[in-house]
Amino acid sequence: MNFLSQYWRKKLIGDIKQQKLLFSALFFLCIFGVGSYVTLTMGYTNLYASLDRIYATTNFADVEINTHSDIWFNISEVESFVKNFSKQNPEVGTINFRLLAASGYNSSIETKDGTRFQLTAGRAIGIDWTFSQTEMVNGFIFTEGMENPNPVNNSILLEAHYARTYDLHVNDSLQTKINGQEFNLTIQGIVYNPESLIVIPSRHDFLPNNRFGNIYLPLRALQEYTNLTDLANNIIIKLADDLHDEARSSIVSNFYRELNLYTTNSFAPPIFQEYQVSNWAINMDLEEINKIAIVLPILILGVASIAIFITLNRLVQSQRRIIGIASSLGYTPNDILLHYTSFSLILGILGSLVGIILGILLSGGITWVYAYFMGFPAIISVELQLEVILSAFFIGVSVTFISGLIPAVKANLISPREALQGNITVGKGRFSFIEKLLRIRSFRIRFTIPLRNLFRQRSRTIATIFAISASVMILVVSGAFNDSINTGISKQFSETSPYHLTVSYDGFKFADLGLLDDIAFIEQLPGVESVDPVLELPSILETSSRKEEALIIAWNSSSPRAHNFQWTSKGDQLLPNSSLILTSGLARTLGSSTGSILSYGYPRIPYLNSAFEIANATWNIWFTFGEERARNETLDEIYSLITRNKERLSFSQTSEGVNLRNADITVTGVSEEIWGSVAYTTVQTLTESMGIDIFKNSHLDIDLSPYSKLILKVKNPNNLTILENIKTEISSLSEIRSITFGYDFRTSVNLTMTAFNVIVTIFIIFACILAGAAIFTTIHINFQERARESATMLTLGLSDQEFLFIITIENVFQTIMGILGGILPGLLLADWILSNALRTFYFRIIVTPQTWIILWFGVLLIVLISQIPAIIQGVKMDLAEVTKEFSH
Amino acid sequence: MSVVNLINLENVSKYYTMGEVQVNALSDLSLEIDRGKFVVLIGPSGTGKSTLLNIISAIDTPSKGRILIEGVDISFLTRKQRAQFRRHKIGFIFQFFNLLPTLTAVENVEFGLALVGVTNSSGNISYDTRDIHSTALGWLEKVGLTHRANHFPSQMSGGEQQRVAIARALAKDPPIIIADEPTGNLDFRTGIKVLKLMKELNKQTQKTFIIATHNSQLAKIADYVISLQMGGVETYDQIPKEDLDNLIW
Ligand SMILES: Nc1ncnc2c1ncn2[C@@H]1O[C@H](COP(=O)(O)OP(=O)(O)OP(=O)(O)O)[C@@H](O)[C@H]1O
Ligand SMILES: [Mg+2]
Repeated sequence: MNFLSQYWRKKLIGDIKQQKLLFSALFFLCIFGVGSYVTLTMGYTNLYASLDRIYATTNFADVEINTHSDIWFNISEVESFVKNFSKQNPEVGTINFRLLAASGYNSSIETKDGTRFQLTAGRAIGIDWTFSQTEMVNGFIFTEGMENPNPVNNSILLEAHYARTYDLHVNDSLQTKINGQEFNLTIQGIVYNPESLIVIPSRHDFLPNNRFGNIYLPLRALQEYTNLTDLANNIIIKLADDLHDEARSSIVSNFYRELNLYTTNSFAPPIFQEYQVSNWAINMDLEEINKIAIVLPILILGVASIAIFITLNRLVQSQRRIIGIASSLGYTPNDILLHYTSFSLILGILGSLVGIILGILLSGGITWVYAYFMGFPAIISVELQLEVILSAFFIGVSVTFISGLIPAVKANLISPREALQGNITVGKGRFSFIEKLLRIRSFRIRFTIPLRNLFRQRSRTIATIFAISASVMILVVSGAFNDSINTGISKQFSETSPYHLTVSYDGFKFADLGLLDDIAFIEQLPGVESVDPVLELPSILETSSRKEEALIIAWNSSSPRAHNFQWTSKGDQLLPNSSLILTSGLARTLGSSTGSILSYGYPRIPYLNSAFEIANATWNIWFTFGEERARNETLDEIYSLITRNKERLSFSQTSEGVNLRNADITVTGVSEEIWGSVAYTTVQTLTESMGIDIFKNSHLDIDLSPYSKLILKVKNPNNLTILENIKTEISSLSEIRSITFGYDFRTSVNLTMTAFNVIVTIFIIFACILAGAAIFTTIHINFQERARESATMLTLGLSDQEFLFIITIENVFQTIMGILGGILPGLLLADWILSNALRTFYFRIIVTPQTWIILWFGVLLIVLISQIPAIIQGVKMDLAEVTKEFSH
Repeated sequence: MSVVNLINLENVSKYYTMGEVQVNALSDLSLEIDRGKFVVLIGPSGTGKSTLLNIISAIDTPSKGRILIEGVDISFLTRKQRAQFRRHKIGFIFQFFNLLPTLTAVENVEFGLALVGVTNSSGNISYDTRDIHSTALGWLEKVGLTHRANHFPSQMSGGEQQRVAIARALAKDPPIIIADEPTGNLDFRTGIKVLKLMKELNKQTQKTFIIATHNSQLAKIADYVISLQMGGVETYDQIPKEDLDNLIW
């Protein structure tokens, strides 16, 4: 007894040694499955943890409250309210008042065409610097200039993403436009801020944009620049730590209610931390990682478990005689069970341990990669999460253990008599389903053999196909991600909106208050092909059951020259009054289509009433001095009203900040574009519902249609000199905030996709390895089981090539089935991840022919490579030996 | 008939080296075997019967000496040439039958035929599946297994399987049939039947059968006996002395 158990221990090691390659593959699959689980799960939680640390060190606001777009509050007044409120509600921690203003910069950038100047947009944030770093809500992490953190006159702190993009450093100066004036501001520090870990100008400008520059300066300085002495428009609140959600929301809603009572409804609804745009975007990314952290390990461990099952099953079958001898010698079933489960236990335990260690090491890498590509501060927190480690160990060991248990139990059930008889059949021969179906009687033998082999052990064939499908799923997801996004982006910029230049105004530019003049000026510049003015308005679209934030882009005609709709459906007439064209992503989230009627909220135009009063006042002038003078004086009056404070006419960064009224609007078309929340209409429709068209129809015939952007096409977009000239000319116009080249924008879009591409590449590598390991295992085992018949065929004179052909046909067939089986689930999975994780974009799932070709050939190639070790073994086989073996 | 012997072994030796030890499986063996003979190779276990058959059938190569089949030296053939040689010149009958488990009886025979093609009515070599199929059925009839044509090996008895194997070996019309312990895995009665069949087919087809066995009784039914002993080889012609039916072991 003692002897035999010793013998078996040796045998265990011997078996593993003999099947080195096979066990390495299984071992690898275990490591891979457990490792990917630990890497992704811990990577995900580590990212959260490092995010939390960033948020904690910078006192990230729990909630932010903005005034409505045209309203400011007097700080000292609100301060006294706040003091009172805080006294009664000690849970309110710290409150800061800030002033936010739109800004623009003129920065140089090194490109392959030499140094170029770019007019970029941004936000100036005025902060009360009397706060200490611990009191300051939304504080800073300095990457440069930390020894002197409080900006003095004409100096600023610059947000790090912008600094990195334009290679700006401490003591450089930044040409800044605020409220129509130019300032030369000195950079005194480069900082990260929790509000802009991903720089997203607003929920509607969703593309992460490292060209959007946030600057931080003393409140007083900004008040001075904007003529808003003592005023602010933004309140950020840090609540006491450890408040639970209910307490948190109740205290905030109390605060908001009382604040609005106190200030006569000047404030837009509070924005909680979860909805703060940068944090929201990061969370979407993390959600995506989280989803992948679930799906990927399941696929890998699934394949691992199949492979282990097949391998051990085969081991048990081949050792039936030993099992028979053992049990006839009086070995208890438990001993036998233990012996065979110990294979999977060893695999599970070792694989999990190595997987966990690798996972821990790599999880830090995930934080690093993500932080590096997204431009986060390098606070990497690698925490050993005991629950992840334990669950990984548990999952790894139990999956392998259970996969090994079934063959072990089978081994145990073999009766000694049966076992000693030996002669086992590896799946009986049977006519294949295909032959029965097609009633084929005389296939060529070299096709019959692989075909029957497939049907011989159907469960193994299915398992192999499943393993290939799992890998193909990952490949399809990666490929579909890559293709859908690249095709979508490239189509958007080259076909749908093939503009070359956009010009943004500081706020609104009204038709008769300079816009038409600007257009006339630009149209006569050499090289300009067309100029389309547009109005971009954040809005809310509503159906009876759904409500979505959307950016409405209004053209001044129903057929803009710089935009080609990609119709998926459309009505007879494109944009009659009160009609809207939806992008397909928005149509999907709203559940609307052509013909649907939506309700949309539109903003109240500030000072409309004052403008009416002015128009009324000039009525007398019209009587006395005639139309022309009345018209000119009205325009002057309205102009001065507006320019008195440019900032008053800008929208705040969120649609909640927009005071809405509702109107009905009919969907007259759906256009397929990458934006998930954009709709198009005409300026006329908007001005009519806002009541601005009154001026046009009045005695003065003033067109006060507001616009926010100009979209240009040029005749020769490749001529950079002409483009630069146009830009320089335009920048001399007043109230210009930024000018962006189409291809610059595209470059930054592509840059933000880099991180994504890295992930896709890693995935593809994962999938290939997975496919290789899985196929290697099954092919190897199939081969071992069929060694005797292979030897027979070779002995009978089958040439090596024909032999290879027979094996290859079988594997190729399995591969084709596997690929076919993986395509649809892969596409569905890709669609699920893309539409859930990237809600603000809409990408139709596209897989390009190149990708299909690469996929098919790639997987087939992997299969062909994976069969090499088995084939080498086959060719090296001692024919005499193997044909005479009692049982293979 | 050609003057050249079918099989000629000239001073063939085969050594196996296992680590330090060298095993002499065959030493300095010279033999001649004529066409159409029913050759029985006897000798105790370990005397090199299988080794000899492996060398004749080009599964293995000799360490020393030459082996000529139909006057052609096969000692130095490449792997590919040896496969070609086996395909055309040798029919194999194994101890454990070695039918391909996924093929039916008739398909197993077809497998052998498909390697070399069949001579059709117009005298040409044909690889047509129908020609091959009908030839294979013809062979199954010869071994008395028409009713088993569409059965898989797992559905047949050992004796039946071995008869299919015999049909497979003979169907492709090779000059030499090699059988290493063909009855080793069969009971006595079945073994006799199988031997009878082989003997009969030997007469009919005039192919050379070389059968290895350690059952010296079988020497009595041989035309030619090669007896491998520890010391060396002894060969003798023998008109069958005993009818198979009277053989007992
Ligand atoms: N691959 C090999 N490696 C090492 N030695 C071998 C090998 N094959 C055979 N031998 C040795 O060569 C000698 C002859 O073996 P062979 O199998 O030819 O004997 P045999 O007469 O067929 O015996 P049996 O009647 O048991 O089948 C034996 O001593 C055997 O151990
Ligand atoms: Mg032998």
